[in-house]
Amino acid sequence: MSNSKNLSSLQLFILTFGLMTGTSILDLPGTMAQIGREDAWIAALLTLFINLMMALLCLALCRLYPGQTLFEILESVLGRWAGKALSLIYLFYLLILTSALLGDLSTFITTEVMPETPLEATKIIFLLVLVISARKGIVILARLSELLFPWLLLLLMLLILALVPQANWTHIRPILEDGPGPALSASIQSAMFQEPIVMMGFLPLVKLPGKQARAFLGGITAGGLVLCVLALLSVLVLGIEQTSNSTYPVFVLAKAINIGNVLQRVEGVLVTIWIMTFFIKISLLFLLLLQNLQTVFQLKRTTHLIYPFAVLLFVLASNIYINIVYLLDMVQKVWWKFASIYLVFLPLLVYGVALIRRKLASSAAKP
Amino acid sequence: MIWNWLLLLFLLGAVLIQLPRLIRLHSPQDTAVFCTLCLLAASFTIADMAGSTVIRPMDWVYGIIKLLSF
Repeated sequence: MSNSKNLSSLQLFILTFGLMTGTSILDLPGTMAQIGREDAWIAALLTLFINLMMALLCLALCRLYPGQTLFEILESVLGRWAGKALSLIYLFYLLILTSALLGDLSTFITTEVMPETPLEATKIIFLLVLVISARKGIVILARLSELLFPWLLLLLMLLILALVPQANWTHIRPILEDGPGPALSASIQSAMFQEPIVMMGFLPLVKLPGKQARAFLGGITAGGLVLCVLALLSVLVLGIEQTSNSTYPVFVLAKAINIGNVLQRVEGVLVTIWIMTFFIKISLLFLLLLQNLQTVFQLKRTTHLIYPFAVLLFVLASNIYINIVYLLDMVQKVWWKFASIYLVFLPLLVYGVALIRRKLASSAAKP
Repeated sequence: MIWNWLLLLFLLGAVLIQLPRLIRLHSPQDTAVFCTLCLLAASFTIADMAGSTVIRPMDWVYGIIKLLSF
């Protein structure tokens, strides 16, 4: 077995796919249907487009500073202290995001799958897995993701193919009845729940820039298309009212599968897919948290930080998911605006400053 | 409540195991960041046990967005 610290382009593709589909496949179709109504699938396509734009911005930054991670780029562009300050601002966002995801998992498992199990037990079990994953590092996570990926694809195909016979195409008509506005609004909000910028911490691990870009953009496209298909199927099978009123419409969708009274109640398949992709996403976020502190404070190692981080995530997750009404209200009104600062505005600002610095440096170098 | 006690115990265990290793590592930054993070985690856990509403991250986010909307 190779002890290389590098990732293959296939591994990067799978990790990006996991990042894009983790949590989103369960939560986003409902949000899209609430705002975009019958055009939820168009909103999903636009979400994919916005994510590709964000990914191109990340790649452009990586091209300017090859071999550097997100936090190293921040320091290279803005200078040592301003870069470190901005990295700590990112740490705040990543910490809240990771704990929100942990809360999301435990709430889903407790409300839909194991209602007798306390929220805290689910959280502790998953944190344990997260601690092991963080201790092993990105290379082991990538290898594990490679092992999980074929099963993930198989289960996704099973889910999608089993739902196709129940599709009712009248549910998505009329198309764009209120113009493109609602679909656009739904797509902007949804795109802020998928975070391609997270991969900037791991892109330098793929050494060939061409392969790196292809794998990254490929993972985003594949994840976006899966989301699009699931959003479309949710509306086609459940209808607009049930999709927009459900917190987890794809879970309701999986319950609706019935092929000749033989293949029924396969929601376990969906839970498996969700937990696999969720594991990839939250592990990447946890590793990025550690990478952030390592870069900012120039630490020799990070394994010792895993344990206090795990405790912090547990407590924050409990305080994010106070109740579902509070959370949905906050997520719909505030979170997408907050996330857009970190996913769009700050990277654009950093890219702008990097370009200006490049121009100034090249004009100063000319005689 | 019992979960929070478990967390504090876990944190104490982590400190007892990791601190001697960190001292042997001879890295003041590593030790400082670890201690700060442990203190932060412990204070958040205690605040949670006390039922404090200050540690609600979504309220912080709401506050930030309200501030930026001005």
